[in-house]
Amino acid sequence: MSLLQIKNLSVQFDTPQGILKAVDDVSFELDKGETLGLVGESGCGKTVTSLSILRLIPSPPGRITQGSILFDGKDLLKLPEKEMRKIRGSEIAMIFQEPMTALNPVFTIGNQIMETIRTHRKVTQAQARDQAEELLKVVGIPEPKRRLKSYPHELSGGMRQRAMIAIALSCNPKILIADEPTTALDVTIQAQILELLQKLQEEFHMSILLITHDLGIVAERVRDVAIMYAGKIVEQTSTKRLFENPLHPYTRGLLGSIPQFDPARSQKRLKNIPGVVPDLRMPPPGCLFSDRCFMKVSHCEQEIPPLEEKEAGHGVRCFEV
Amino acid sequence: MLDIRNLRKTFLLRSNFFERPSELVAVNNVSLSLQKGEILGLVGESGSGKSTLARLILRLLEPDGGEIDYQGQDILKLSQKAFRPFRKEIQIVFQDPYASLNPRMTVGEIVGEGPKVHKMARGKELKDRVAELLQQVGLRPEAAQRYPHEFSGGQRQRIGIARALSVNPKILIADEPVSALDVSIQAQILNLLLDLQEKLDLTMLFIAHDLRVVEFVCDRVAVMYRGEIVELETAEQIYKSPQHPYTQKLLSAIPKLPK
Repeated sequence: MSLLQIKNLSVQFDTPQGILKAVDDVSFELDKGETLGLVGESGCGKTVTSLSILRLIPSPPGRITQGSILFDGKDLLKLPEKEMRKIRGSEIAMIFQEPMTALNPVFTIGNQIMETIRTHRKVTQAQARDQAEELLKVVGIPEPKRRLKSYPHELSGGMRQRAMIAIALSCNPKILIADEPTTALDVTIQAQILELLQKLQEEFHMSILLITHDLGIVAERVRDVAIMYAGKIVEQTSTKRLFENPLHPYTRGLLGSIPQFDPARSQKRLKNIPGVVPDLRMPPPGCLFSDRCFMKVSHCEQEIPPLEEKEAGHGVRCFEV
Repeated sequence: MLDIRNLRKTFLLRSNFFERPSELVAVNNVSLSLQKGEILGLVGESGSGKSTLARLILRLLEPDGGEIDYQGQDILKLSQKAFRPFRKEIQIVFQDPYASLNPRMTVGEIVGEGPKVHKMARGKELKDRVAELLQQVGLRPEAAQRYPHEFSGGQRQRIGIARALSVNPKILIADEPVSALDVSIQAQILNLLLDLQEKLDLTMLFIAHDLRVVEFVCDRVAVMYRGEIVELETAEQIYKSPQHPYTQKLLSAIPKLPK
């Protein structure tokens, strides 16, 4: 049973150069207690998708032009703002890429956790403080009592991200959206944070929407995956199948772009994807990946391929697969 | 080609005006030698001293002690003026292509500045040289009239590479040249660097935090931890049988793709 169901979501932004379709007809489901990976490069619409779930798209210039986001049977896009506030930060929480900019520099960590708790729960200051201390302990911050009084700049990058996770967990969310949670961190710290998220997921029975550009992280931590390119989902399947049988040329290019250890050094150069992402304010007709694609045929440049099931549970947006 | 011996740099940190400053040893007795034509990788996490080491080699920072031998001379002992001809021999590509290009200069001015300062070319000759350099890194010559903000991250990094190559360096230091870029663009830039290294017979110091990238690009790898080099081996050895516990930890932390 899916906890979150996104159907045909489209989001666009008005820019001086014209309308930019940041997210175009995106659909996916997130099951209870599961992790879904949303993968893509900068500008592909993964963050806009996640902000839409929380209705945090700045409007203007942004607009959700179609689609529905069903959470527990309710369409979040139709809820009055007052109702939405009860969900945002409480039932659905989010952590961001750069904890230093997401945390408020002039309030202590304790203050910021307590703020979230007291916004959503009727508890006293003292109760909230106890809960905040408990949360810091849960996310593995040493000396939680003392750290409550720390300001964000007094913590290291990894500790800051832990503090952000503590804020996100403060109201026992059903869904945690993690937007590139480890991109700004060193690899050893990255491993610790991902481990922590996995542990907390089991403890709190959360669903996680993990947004990342790193297919390595997806391979190790995620059950299902959706690959986005230029605002559209181009491939959608289980992680296992994606690595066994990647079908979309973009996915295959991405996999080839990651250096693999090879003692024989048979591969002198990486298999890269030529070219750059198209300007979404002036998208070419047809498939948006066509000008970088090695499998391109003539009608790729005229028609947009639909996302079709090429085998059971494996959707691909390509004519030539 | 380049011999670094016991290089040391300490920074004084003062959090409060009245307190006695504390010492941070950023580079601690580092010895390293670059062989001609090789790509030597330097890995480590943030704060390990990699970039400080790069800056010391370029004499953008003055070390507290040590020697850097290049062509039989200790380049640290030279006056700034006597060092100038050596500047063009050792060039750098910076990490952040958004911060390292002057937004008020055209691409042509950025790439042409080095040859102009070193009196290597001028006028029409300089223009041709810039066009040639831009083509070499996969940009169109017309790019010379445009400004950095008109380019994407990957293209800006190409401009940074063209600038570094503009004075025909023998040694190229690439300081995290791809970590600010998307995966598919990373691969393009890595391939470009490898092509250029081969074509121009460059000696390269390749600094990165991503062991996957370093292992792919480099012949030998030095692992840096808290200002010291804790392991230096061929890329293959580092990957197959890492000796130092820190190297082992780094390797095991990398998310791996299924075979």
